[in-house]
Amino acid sequence: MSEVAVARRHETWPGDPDGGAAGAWQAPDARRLLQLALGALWLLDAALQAQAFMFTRAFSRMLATSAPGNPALLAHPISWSAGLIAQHGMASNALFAAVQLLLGLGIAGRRTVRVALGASIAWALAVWWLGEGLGGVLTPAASPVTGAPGAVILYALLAVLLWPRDRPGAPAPFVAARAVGAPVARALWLLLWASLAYFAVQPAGRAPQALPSMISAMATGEPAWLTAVGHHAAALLAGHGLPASVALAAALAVAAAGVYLPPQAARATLVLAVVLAAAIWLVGEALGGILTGASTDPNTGPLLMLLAVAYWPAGATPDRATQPAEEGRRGWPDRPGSRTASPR
Amino acid sequence: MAGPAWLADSFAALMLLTALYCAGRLAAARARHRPNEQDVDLVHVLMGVAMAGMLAPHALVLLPGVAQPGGTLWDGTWGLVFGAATVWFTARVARSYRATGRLRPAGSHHLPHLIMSMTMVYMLATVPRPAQPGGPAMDGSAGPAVHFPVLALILAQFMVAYVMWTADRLPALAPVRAWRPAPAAVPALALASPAAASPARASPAAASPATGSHGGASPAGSGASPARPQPASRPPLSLRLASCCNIVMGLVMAYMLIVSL
Repeated sequence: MSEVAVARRHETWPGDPDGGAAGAWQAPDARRLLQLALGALWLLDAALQAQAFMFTRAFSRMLATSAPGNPALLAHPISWSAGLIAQHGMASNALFAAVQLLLGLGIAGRRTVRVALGASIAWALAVWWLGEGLGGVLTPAASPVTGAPGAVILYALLAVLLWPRDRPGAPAPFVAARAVGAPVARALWLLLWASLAYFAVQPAGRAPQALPSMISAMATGEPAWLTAVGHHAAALLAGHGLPASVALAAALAVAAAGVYLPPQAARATLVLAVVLAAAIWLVGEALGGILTGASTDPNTGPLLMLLAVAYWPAGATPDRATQPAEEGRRGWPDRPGSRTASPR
Repeated sequence: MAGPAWLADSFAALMLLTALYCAGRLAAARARHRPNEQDVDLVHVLMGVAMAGMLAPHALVLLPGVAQPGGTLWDGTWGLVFGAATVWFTARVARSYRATGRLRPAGSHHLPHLIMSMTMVYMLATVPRPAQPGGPAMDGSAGPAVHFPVLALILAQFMVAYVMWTADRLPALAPVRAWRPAPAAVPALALASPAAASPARASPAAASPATGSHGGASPAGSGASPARPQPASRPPLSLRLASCCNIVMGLVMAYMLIVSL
């Protein structure tokens, strides 16, 4: 008995007491798919938070390292929270993992997506400050190669851009513009990528050996192949920190301005943004350190790629990128003519 | 598994509960002639038991060493079981592909079960456990890394994506209480041509082209005894709870993969 066969759209079941909600279910459109991807990242974070390392004092020590270099007003609460977590390591870490699990599952539920996205913004801001020291943006060591401006702030940004609300008026030119409007969405993109370009040419990053040193440091403790990738990249850039930083900043600046270009050119710059994010994730961030067993998130790479997808210009004709999906359009390949949904 | 013992024990208990529930589904489907997906429920029972053993191997200390998680007998037996499940679901996916000419991960609902079965084989084959020399202890310390960690990461990412996809679709599944028996004439239509039967009116079991013998769901008119209640006239077992089993399985499997890194 296939569950495909027994699954039914709500509205097709007579006598459904939830019939009021039945007609509201739609096949996921582009924004919903991006929300689900964001939720999947929260679930992944929850699993990462449940690693053995996070239940040890080493986790609180790791948090405390984000305080130095920040202004005292910001650094003191970071040190205080790290101390608190050190005292209650097991309970606090279990709480962190549970919160991230609930955020992911909340985003998965259509009735709870608003609450979950709202909570994720608050949670992300708190973690950005107390857990990441604002991603190091106020320290001289901030670099996009190592994860500035912090992964968790990108979760908040995505939550804002993917908020399940549509502004009245003409169809949005891309998914990220649906909730906040195209001007605000473009300004946010410009701010993010321009800040990445700015961080790339900070003094700490443009010294001859700065970039290779960062890359080598991030590759330490990774599996052999990933360490080799990092070390090869570092060797390639050895002594060329300044031109490499300038080139990176220029590419990031092009990506920043891309969303203001016509659709064809914008697509090209978004592809560039994805390539840059993938390169940063692989070479600079060493896949966010996930393979070391001591990482709380995959770092900025996947989030930057997700953001780029959210800014992908829609086609000339209304499509699923900017329009809600037509209800009941989806059929199932093993059931010709079926309008049912499969749970599996 | 490397991780806090209490957390692994909690997940092990959750897996046993899930396995128990799926066993109950199998029993209920047989006893009450309720349509269900027997192969999936059976694999969930087996996965629940195997994953519980992998999560909490200390609960099986009374077994001989080779029969404990990480031992030759344990890994070999479960490896064969999930290898067979992999072959089974591969055949199901291939059959779906042959019928439609398309392979759509979202639409072919056996594909996730195929990947989950493969993941079980992968974990049994590569993740070190206490019974193995050098295996990690359940004291919160990290153990030796799994082989092919990138594959573990990809599989974990698949699991969380599958969980999100499944959870998103929960409202699309009709609750059992909304089920009504089909009009008498419809099953015959459905048997002849599933597409011809109105999906809004046909009973779920009767409308299935993949019904076959699963769940004993032989449609009316197939030669079964008329005195015996036909599955087509019975409500299916809860689809939403079946999906919840998938969600729980996917989450725990993602956890197991991540902590093995």
